[in-house]
Amino acid sequence: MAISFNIKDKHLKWLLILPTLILLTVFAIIPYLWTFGISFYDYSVQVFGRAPDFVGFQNYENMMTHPDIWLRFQNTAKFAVTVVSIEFILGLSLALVLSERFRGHRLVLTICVLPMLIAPEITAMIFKVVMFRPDIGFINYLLGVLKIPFDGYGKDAFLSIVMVDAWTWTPFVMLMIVGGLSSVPKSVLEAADIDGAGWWARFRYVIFPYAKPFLFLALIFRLADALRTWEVIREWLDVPPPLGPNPLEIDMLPSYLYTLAFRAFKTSEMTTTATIMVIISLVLVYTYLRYLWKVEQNE
Amino acid sequence: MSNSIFKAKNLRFVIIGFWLIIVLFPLSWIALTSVKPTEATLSTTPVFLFTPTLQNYMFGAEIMDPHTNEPIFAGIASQFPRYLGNSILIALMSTFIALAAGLTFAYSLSRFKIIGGTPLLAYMLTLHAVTPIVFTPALFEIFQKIGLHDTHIGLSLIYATFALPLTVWILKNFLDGFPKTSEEAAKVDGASTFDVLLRITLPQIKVGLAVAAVFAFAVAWNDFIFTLSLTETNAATFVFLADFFDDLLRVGVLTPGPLASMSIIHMIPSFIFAFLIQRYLLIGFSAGTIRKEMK
Repeated sequence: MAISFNIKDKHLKWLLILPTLILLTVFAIIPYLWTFGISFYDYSVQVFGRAPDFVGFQNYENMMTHPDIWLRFQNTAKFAVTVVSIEFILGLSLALVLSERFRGHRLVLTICVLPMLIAPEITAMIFKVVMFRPDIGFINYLLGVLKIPFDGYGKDAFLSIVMVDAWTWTPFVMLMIVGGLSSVPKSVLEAADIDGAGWWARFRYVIFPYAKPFLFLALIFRLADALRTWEVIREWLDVPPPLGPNPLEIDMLPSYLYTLAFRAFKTSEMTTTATIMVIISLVLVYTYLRYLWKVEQNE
Repeated sequence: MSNSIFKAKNLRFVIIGFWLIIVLFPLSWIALTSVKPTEATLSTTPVFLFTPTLQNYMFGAEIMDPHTNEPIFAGIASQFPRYLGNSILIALMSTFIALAAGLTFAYSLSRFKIIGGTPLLAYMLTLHAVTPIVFTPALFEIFQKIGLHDTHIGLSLIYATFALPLTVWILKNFLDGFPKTSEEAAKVDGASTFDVLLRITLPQIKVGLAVAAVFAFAVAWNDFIFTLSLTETNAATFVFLADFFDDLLRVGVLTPGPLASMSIIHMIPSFIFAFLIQRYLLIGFSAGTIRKEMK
């Protein structure tokens, strides 16, 4: 089969990147620009045929003066800091334990990965229905037996959401750090032993310097993920009032975007908040890239 | 072993065992729930002994209202195979598109000098960092305009786009690791670049393609926001239906059983893939991939 593509390499290289460029432009770059642009208009996707009204920075002003928006910012920050800390403590301990290879090592790692492979929406529903539901939930039953008061749908909703997130993403932190720990040379560990270093000194001065870049990357990745979590929050916000949580205690920016876009059809309000969120994410990505470039220069 | 990082061997197995229970318990509990009779799923104390039943997997059959024992929403339950079919078809289509576009793109960036290549890779990273909800109103408008709303191909193109960052990173990493020399030798013999890519390079990066395919598949298979915003009934996927079941559950006309069986069916393909590629699973998740990429 002789394929007669007699195209010169200098044309071919552009031809090869064309499909990706088209996909990115149509489905990612144009939507970005549209979102940014419409944040200066008064508009709703629900009202077909109505032309958007240009309102300048009015939407931004409205958002900044909205009484609840800061609570949502705070909740997002609180959630991100909480889950990332918990996942780091658990992930680091697990990574230290799993750094040595043993029989079944790979199997254990694979099982740990499973929660990440489930659709977040399905995970959220499973936990909401069979683990945390006040009447039939297993966790409620377990804590009831232990006589620990727990109201997973109501006042402890935030804690429940954190638990679901930690269940899903702790293995991710663990995997990243396992990668980092494998770069600690055995000879250095032996030298530390001969010098009689205690466990803290060993960790702080021998293991930590090698694992640091991986810890940093895991941190950036998890922060970015935590700032886009919404499925589980939406599930909890949907619990009807007598049982459900106080929405202002758990509502965060991504779930707020969802409400604005899909429940309230307030498109311009949504795009305004979305623009702010995109900027926050870009700062994170930029930090990450700068770090990579620094590492690259040092190596 | 004096040179290991973690020394207390017994403690190690206690910690590992503890975490395995945490991971596996919710999964096994949902599997148990999916084969429980209706009364057992609604019991306030956990039921461990029961006669297993497959009634929750009989999606074609009508779902009974637990209170009146009357069939409810028979129409929706019978559409179950179509939603599952949509999910499979769309996931496969988007995996194919993401691999084809991602491979040519990664190949071009790996073998030729492309002006703006690195900033483009960096830009793709931002796709990963922003919540997809941001894109939905814009995509809704675009889809309405170009007639892709509620179509299989429309949804596949979206999933392919959002799987591209990952497929490109993984494939470029594999391509960079594969030496150019044999490609150049083939070119000296008169083969075109396209021939070389197809016959010499492709067979060498089979593993990379498999790993990238699994991750691209997962993007489509696990999505919820795009099927919610860009489909109605024709191209809606499995997760969309699961969410509908959740709504029925909330208003009290459905028991947890069907939702549990649905979740189990949803997990099966991903879990099979995880065990099939477990040797390479770390590649997709590890920071090393992306670190090397930026060099």
